[in-house]
Order: sequence, then structure tokens, then C-alpha cells
Amino acid sequence: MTFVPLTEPVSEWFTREVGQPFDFQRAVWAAQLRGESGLLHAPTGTGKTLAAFAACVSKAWDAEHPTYGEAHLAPKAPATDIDTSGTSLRSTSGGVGGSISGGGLRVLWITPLRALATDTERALRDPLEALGLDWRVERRTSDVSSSIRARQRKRLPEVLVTTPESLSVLLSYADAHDRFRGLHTVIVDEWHELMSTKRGVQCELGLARLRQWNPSLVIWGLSATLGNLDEAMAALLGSSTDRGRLVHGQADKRIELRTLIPDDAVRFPWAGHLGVSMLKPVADAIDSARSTLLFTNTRSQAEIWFRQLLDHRPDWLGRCALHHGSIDRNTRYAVEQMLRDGEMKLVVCTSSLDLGVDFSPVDQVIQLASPKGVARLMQRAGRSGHQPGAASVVVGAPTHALELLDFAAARWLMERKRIESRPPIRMALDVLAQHLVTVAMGGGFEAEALFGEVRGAHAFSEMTREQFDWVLRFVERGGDTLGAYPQFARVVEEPAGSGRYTVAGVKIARDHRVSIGTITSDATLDVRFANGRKLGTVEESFVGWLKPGQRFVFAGRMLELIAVRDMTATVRPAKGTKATTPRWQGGRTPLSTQLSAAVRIRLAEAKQGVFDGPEMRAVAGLLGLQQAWSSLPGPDELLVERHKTRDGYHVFFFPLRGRSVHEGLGALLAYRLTQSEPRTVTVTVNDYGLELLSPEPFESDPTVWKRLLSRDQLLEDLLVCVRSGALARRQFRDIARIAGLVHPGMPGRGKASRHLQASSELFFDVFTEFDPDNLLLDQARREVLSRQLELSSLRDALTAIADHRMVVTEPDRLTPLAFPLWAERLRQQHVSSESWRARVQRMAASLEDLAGAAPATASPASRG
Amino acid sequence: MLWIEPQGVRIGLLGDKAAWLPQVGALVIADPHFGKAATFRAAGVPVPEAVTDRDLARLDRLLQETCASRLVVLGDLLHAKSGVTGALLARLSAWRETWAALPVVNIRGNHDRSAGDPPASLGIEVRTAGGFDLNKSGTPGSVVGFAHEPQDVAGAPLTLCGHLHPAVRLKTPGRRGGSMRIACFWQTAGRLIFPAFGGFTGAAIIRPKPGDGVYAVLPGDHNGPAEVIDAAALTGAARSPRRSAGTVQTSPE
Repeated sequence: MTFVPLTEPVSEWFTREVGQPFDFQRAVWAAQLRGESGLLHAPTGTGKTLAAFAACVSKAWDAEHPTYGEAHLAPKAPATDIDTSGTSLRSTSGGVGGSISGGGLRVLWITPLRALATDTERALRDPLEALGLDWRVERRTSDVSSSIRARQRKRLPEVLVTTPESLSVLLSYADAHDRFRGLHTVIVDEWHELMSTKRGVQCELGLARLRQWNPSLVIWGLSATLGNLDEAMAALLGSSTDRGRLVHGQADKRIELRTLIPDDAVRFPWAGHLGVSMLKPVADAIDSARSTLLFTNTRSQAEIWFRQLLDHRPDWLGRCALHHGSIDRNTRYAVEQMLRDGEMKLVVCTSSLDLGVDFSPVDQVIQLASPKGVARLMQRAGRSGHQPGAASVVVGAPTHALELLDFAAARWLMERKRIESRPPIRMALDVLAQHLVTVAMGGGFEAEALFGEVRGAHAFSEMTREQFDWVLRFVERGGDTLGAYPQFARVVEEPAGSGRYTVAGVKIARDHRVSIGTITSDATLDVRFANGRKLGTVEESFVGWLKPGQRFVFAGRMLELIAVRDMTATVRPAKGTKATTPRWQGGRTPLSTQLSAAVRIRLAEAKQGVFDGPEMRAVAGLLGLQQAWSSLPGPDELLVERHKTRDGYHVFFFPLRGRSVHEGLGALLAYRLTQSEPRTVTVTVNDYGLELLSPEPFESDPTVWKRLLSRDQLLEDLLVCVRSGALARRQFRDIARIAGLVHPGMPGRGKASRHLQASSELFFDVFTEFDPDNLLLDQARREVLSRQLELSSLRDALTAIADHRMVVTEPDRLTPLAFPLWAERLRQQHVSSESWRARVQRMAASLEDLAGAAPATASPASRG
Repeated sequence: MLWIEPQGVRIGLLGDKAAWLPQVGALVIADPHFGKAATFRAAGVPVPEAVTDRDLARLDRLLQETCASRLVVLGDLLHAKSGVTGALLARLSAWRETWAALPVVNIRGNHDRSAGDPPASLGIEVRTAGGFDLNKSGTPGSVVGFAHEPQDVAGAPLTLCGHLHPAVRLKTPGRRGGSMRIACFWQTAGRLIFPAFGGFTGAAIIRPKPGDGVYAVLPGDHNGPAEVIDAAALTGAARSPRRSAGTVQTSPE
């Protein structure tokens, strides 16, 4: 029998209730009991929760039975006296940091989603109750009732399940250090999800603080498959820990991708077109399984498909639901509960259901439209088929023909187990500014000591003292410029010159606590019926487009807008079929670097006449047409198509490197083109390429284009684009909110705080003019460069292109690769979706006619 | 200067978000919101103080250029009580001394009501909305109304108003679907609504009706100073209402 490193009653309970522990579980338990920190890499539904928690239960049991180790057969110890057990315990638990018993917080469980907290709370409570242990497990999230919060103010439970934001709030109380004194273990669930967000940075800073208080704190992260697990662990544990232990869970479940292959008829892809024709195959697939999760990439896509599927199959009404981030929270919880209970036939959802919650009753997962990334596809696939040994099946449903390529590329990567990495965020000064005020409230800080502590967080491990001091001065007196911000103070040095800082006042503290949190989005409006029932939220910018009386689809219903007042859109149910679907921001996930690389590989194969796998065979006809009319991009070629229409002169580039890189390329090309001579250039991008459109003809000499695509001066030129363009201004919105410039509405203080309303744009302008060295502006530019334009990928792309042969073709019509870009630009120009649809449909029809007449059957390899 | 003649009243619109009434030699501005930066700082939000200095410098330049014989502020002279600091009052007094002989009138706005009228030492006359006889002829039609909240002043064919901070969204040529939010003068029926003069003030996108006048204030750059252009053709005033993006969402100040 294998050794189980848990105290005996706990290991007996585990074997009885769960079964023989897996090796990875034993490895984590042993490491935790040795006092080591680390990262467990394991997919959902494989026992990772208990892997992370059972050692804590073991410690709890030992703490409540201090004499257990000495006298096995002694009767169960009576309810322990708090003080004495606290002292006797140290001998049994072997220096796992601080006293274990004595009430108060022992284990902190951090989760990215409130929705996960409820399930986790239950899962953690089970073993404690089964073993009769006197530990409380509670949630501390923004939706916990104020009475529970008040109780937690007095005394924290032994096990607290919370979010990064709520951890920050806890750290902001003056007695924070005392309240965390007995904490010995922190578990961060779904760390892969947090680490590349600013919430991850917030978490890193919080952990740095906890580690400062208790250097032997045991910290474990739980992560799904990632390409950079070592980096993920380093980001979690920070630079102060020399090394952690990386434990791999059960091998990832086998994932089987089954792509629905459309009929050959659809040749000319455009967003949504094929989607409609795929309605029946998708509905048939849903029919074939007991229950299905249909994942879409955007909330509007979810709304559209939910409507269409219900129109198609009215008999599913009542067993079919919609789930996305804008839907009212209580409705979402209800849907999740029905899923768990196996009462749902179909849930149409977005990334809102990517995470956590274990829906064992789900049989089938459908990915609608491009998977965008292989890690994401695998994560979604993992939501089904939890029977041991069973493969997870994910059904791919492309919405236009080129998405077949994306699925083909995803298959290629999955077969080779090449998963995307996620870069952790560095130097988020806005999050640091917020943290400084939090810490100033939570008992105050010494600048010198806090600098060291903050450098212990991975995100700031390379921060200089100058940068730290700037952030400190930013919260102390507004910024670097002396006298620029009279009467301003969020933290004060007391006494002056002591290097010791506390928060500047009760009101500042109260406002700060309300605005803690780094998740930001556009201002949103509640959508409610006249009777007050809430349906969810939509972005302000969407409602701005609507007039009272207009109809729109939301939460799966047809609604009519009555009025917009006080951040609430009042609606009533409407009848009819014509309506607008809200377009939410952030709906455009770019194709991942890995996936676009795989697309390039698969296209290069196609050029050689190799069509491997069902998706490639299905798209062969279309690619043949591309080759016949223009060319297919080979492995070391950059395909450029020149074209003239009544709209003007078009140049299409197909670097195949994902939307973000193409945006950067487009900005760069437009800037460099207009440098030499003033002209109007319209840039349109998608995941496959970009289109430049101008009323005047473009340069035809390929060497000129080569020069325009040069890597030299990349950063300088991009910075000019970023400075002059609206990009940085937009990026600044998040930063302004996190750094506490813009208050996201205070509950119950609507009117009173109105004189404090100012938009982030205003701050951007004021800083640009009066405080141009403000590091937050600098951060906005950096974020645009690195995150929106993916500077490093862009640099890689330009390096590759420098060696590429430029293949310039002049097709006399739109090619299959160019068509989606053409349609995309049209969509952006046309406000009315009706007229856009009509024009695109006409163009698609005429191209399909041509395709039928053209020698489209020419073998793709026959021309080169 | 862009000359317009709404309801027969000759008005010059200036790129610095002010207007010139030649018949009475009055410079008119709306919503300077002095002390807004200080209000924010008092609440722990860093806004540079230089905002006030720049606004006063703009005002100096306008008064010099127009040789105005009076200044009318269409309300919201001060932003909020917590922003009316000793430093702000000292700054305003210093400015007032350089223009000691200039009559200044403020039409009391909603912010003035909560911030309080400026101290008497500043020598600023505070009035409520009302009419002003331009050529003192007493004939109907020679009266112009002055108000903060948009309204029609009885007996005046045209009322100059503030409060809304109107702006329009103009598409920028070239760059990817970009658009700019640009402050504007908005003439709708018998009202001419002014853009906010204050440098640290927001703006609300308006939805002009066909026939409205929209005069956008293009910000100055290295090519030249700010100027006012007739933008009716570029915005909703000339198109179907569906085309105009946005609605008045932000609360007017």
C-alpha cells in the first residue's frame, strides 16, 4: 500500500469517500506538509480541490486532537480549549508557520469567480463536516450578505473563500495583520485565468503582503494546461521564494474534435453567413445528446444563436437557456443550478461558463465559430464527459468557410500537445497605486520596507526605486511636479520625513474601499422591466445607439426600449422579428499566436497539395479557388493582392498572424504611407490579414512595400501612432479607474458624488497637457503596445517578413481570403445591418457564380 | 471668428469656446467651473492646478482680442463648495484686479447654487435668467435672453444658454473607424447653447434635429489656433436621426 502523507483519520476518510489517492495528490499533500509552495497543474474535475485542501484538513484534525499522535486509542479529545491546544499543536504540525488552532483564519482560498466560490465552499466543507471538525468555511465575495460580512469583521472563519478584490478589501482594514496572523496556507484556484490579468497583479501584491507577515506561508496555485507553467509558478510565488514545486496532475483527458462540415455550396465566407446555414447541423448535433453547452465567442453571437435555435426548435423552450456575462447574476445562477441538476437540454453561453463549476451532467460541448486558441478549445472541451476514461468530445461548428482552417489548425496543435502560453502582466503601476492606498489603510507602511515587499511580487520584481517613488508621490501629492496638485493627498507621511505613510482621511478610505477592484469595463446600464425586474446589463455605448421605441434582442428576448434614466434602461417585451442585437465591447478575441502559426502551416501544406483531416479536405475547394485566382501563401511568402473597385484602390496583405498583430501592422503601414505624402488610408484587419484602401493608387514596387514593412524604427513609429491615435486614450480608461482617478459610481451616493464626475478622457487630456511625464500615461502607451498591438509578436512578424518573398497578385475579383476583409470594412462603414447584408449577399452570389464558371477545380498544387 | 445670425442677432463664435456680441460689446462664456480641479483634489483625485491658470489666460486673451466692454458668464462660474479654496479665491482676485473696470455678470447656474455666489470682493454681479435690451430701443426683437439651463426667456427671440456642455462626434478621416468628440455651439429653435469654457469639464453628445445649427470647435494644433466651423452637414442635423451616435448620457454639469 502506498504511503498517504495525511493524518490517519483523514486519509481513511479520503480512501473511503473518494478512493485511492492519485500520485499527484500525495505529492501535493507531502509538499504542503513539508511547508513547500508550488503549482498544481491539473484539469477540472480530476480531484484538484482535495489535492490542494486535504493537507489542510489533516492539519486541522491534528490541531483538534493534539494528543492523537501520542495515544491512538485514547477517546476522542473533548472540545479543545483554544489556548492550550494552540500551544500543544506546534509539536505535532512541525513548524508550518504560526499557531494552527486558536480561532481565526487558517486557510485562504482565492478564486477568480464569485460563481465558483459557492461550489468551492461546499466542496471544502464536506470533509470537515464528515470528520466532525470544528472549522467554519465561509465565502467573502461582493455578493455575501452584510450580516455575514459584519460577523467576519469580528472574526474570520478558519477557511475563507474569496476573490482577489475581496482580499484587497480585507487587507485594507487597520487590524489586517492581526486577523491574518494564524493563516498558514493560501490556495489560488484557476491561476492560469488570473495570472495574465490585472486582477492577477492585485493577487500577487496581496500575496507579497501575506508572505511578508508570514515568511513560511504555504502558497499553492491550481492551473489548467498552459505553455508556460514554470513562469506561471514564478508569477504566483514571486521572487522572494527561490523555487516552488511543480506537480503535474493526471494526464489531460483525450480530446476528440469533431467538426461539422458544411455542404460544399458555400464558398464565400462572411461573418454569420455560413452560420445560418449551419443551423440545422448544429440543431441535429444538439438533438443527438442529452445535454449540450454551445460556446460562442461573443455575447451578441450567443444572443443571435439562442434566438435562431429556439425559432428552429420551439419544442426546446423551457429546457434551453442563455448564459453570458451581461445576464443578471441570479438568472445565471439559476441556469447553472439547472445544469447541475441535469434539467437543461441546451445552454448557449460565452466564456462565462469557461471556468470552474463542474457540470458532470453535460454530455456535449459545441464550439461555435473559430476556437481562437487551442488552450481555450481544450478548456471548453473539458466541460463535458467527466466519466473516468471517457474522451471529451468537442463539436466544432464553423460559421464561415475559413474557420474550417482554424479548426484544422487547432486539431494539428492538439495532436502535438502545443498549448499557448499566457504572459503574466508586469509593471501595472495603476494596480500598485491602488495597492499603496490599500496598505496605507491597513495599518500604514514604511516606504523602504514596502518597496522591498512589492519587489517580491513577480509583476514588480524589476521595478526601480525611482518608479516606486513616483507611484508613492502620485498617491501622496498627485505626481512628480511640485505644487501641481495643491490640497491633494490620498496617503500622508506622518510625521513628515519619517517614511511612514497612512491614509489621508476617513472619507478617502471609505471611497477607496468601495472602488477597490481592477476588473473594469465600459460603463454599463441595468436593463429592467418597468416593474423593476432586472434582466442584466448592457454597455452604455450600445444603448446610446437606440432611441425609445426601438427594438433589440437581449437575454434571449425581443425588447422595446422605453426610456433611459439614472443608468437604467427600462424596457418592455416586444413582438416582431426585426431587431438590433447589442454589440458588446471586448467581443473580439484575436487568434492566438500558436493557432495562427498552425494556420500558416496548414496553408503551406495545402499549397503542396496536402489536405490532411476532414476540415482541410472540406476547405480544399475554396483554397483551390484562392490558388487559381491569386495564390496561396507559402511558408516563406507574404501574399499581397492588389485590386481596384469603385470604392478605390485596395491592397490586401495576408501575414496570417492574428488580429492584434495585423492592427499593429495596419497602424504602422498607414503611418509610414502618410509620412511620405498626405493621403487618406482606411485600414481593416481580421485574423488572416489586413486591407488598405485609398482613393489614390498605391505604390506598385514591392521593394517600397518591403521598406514600409521594415523593422527599423518600429517602436518609434508605433509610439507616434499610439500618441496621436485614440488607442492610448481608450486604454487609459481602465488605468484611470484602477488608479482611482475615476470613481465607478458609489452605491447610494449617486447625486452627492455627481460633482466628482469626470471621464478618463478628460484626465488623459489634462495629464497630456500639464503633466506629460505622468507614468500612468506611459503605462497606457505600454499597454497598447504590448497588449493591443502585441509588440513582440509584431516584431517577430516583421522579422519574418523581412526574409519573405513578396508574392504580389492582381486578381480581377475578390479572392476567398480577401472577401471577409472587404465585408468587414463594409460592416464598419454601414450603420444599417440590412443594407450591409444585402450588399454582401449580392457580392457573395456574384462571386459564387464566377467560382462556378472559373476552373476552380484546378488542383491547388498545379500552379505555383 | 465664425459669424452667425440666429433670429437676427449677430454673433461671432470664437475658437476658445466663447462668443462675441458686437452690438453691446459683450464677451459671453458658459460653464467655466472654476475650482473643479480643487474639488477633485479634495476628494483624493489628482488633477493638476494648472487647469485654472490656463482658463484664466484664455479669458485674458479673449478680452484683449475683442476689446470687450463687459463679460457675461452663463452660469456655473464655480464648481462646488469644496473647490472654493483660499488659493482659488486668491487666484480669481488677482485676475479680477487686472480687469477691475470690466463689468462681469454671472447668470446663476445649478453649480453656483450649491457652491454659493462668489464673494462680493470679486465684484461679480449675479443675476437669474432674463432678457437684455441690445440697443436699448425697447422694441420687441432687440432683446436677447441669457440663461443657464436651456430655456426661452419671455420676450426674447433668442436666448443664450449653458449647462449642457454640448458636443458632437465627428468621424476622423483615415484612421480606422476613428471618431472625435468635439465641443460645439448648438442652436436649436430660439436657443443658442454654449460649449463649456472650463478646460477640465466633460461634454455630452447631443442629438441635433434637422434644421438645427451645429458649430463645432475644432481644437488648435501646430497648424493653427482653434476655430469654429459649421458642422451641421457633418452631424445628425443634416442626416437621419439614426445616424447620430450616442445620446445625452452623462449628467449635465
